[in-house]
Amino acid sequence: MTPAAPAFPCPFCGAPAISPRCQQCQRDPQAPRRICGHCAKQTPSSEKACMHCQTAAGSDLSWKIPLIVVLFLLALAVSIAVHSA
Amino acid sequence: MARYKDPIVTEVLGKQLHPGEQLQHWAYGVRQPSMGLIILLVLLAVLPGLIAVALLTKEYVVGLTSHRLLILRVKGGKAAVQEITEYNRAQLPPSKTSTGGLFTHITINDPQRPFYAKFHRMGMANNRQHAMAIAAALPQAQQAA
Repeated sequence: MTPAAPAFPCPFCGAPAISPRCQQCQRDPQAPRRICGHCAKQTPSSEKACMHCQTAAGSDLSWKIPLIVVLFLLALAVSIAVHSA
Repeated sequence: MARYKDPIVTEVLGKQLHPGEQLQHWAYGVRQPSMGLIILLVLLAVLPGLIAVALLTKEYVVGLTSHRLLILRVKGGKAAVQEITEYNRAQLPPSKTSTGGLFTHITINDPQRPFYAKFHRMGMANNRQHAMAIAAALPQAQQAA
């Protein structure tokens, strides 16, 4: 039998959290959250900037997509070079 | 072939536990891009396509605790946590699980926090057993809620 979940502190502000909203920061304590790359604290994933240090959240895709495009262009260039040689 | 060793995963999950909460099962899973995109990328160019698929694959460490289902999106050799999603075990949303020869699939159909990943039996030591235990706990928790 699964025990009832006790009230754990809010992962965002540390205040005693009562689901569904933290009484202090008004955020959902069970909302998906990310770790800020700058201050290493937790912020709801839905917020664009860190709630603690205001650093804007970067997406991995911002460097992965250009890298993938470059890889395919490189493959295309190599195949053209090999074909014409 | 194992991506992570048990001490790394239990340490990463242990940092997310609350006082008195016990980690029961843990597993390593991935979410790859859609099969259509994988086929398209590999047909365009095999090596860049495979690299692209690897880059677009998300890695997860899932932990079942006495109170929650914890899902950590991780990256790197030391499983640096990128994102955390948690579900209260007493209020688990509808889920769909299946186990095949290689993979255990877990889908959580939550409108706010949807989740899907597949867990390779060689992803970690005892990954299959842990993933199946987590999958088995989902419907039980759902029925109890």
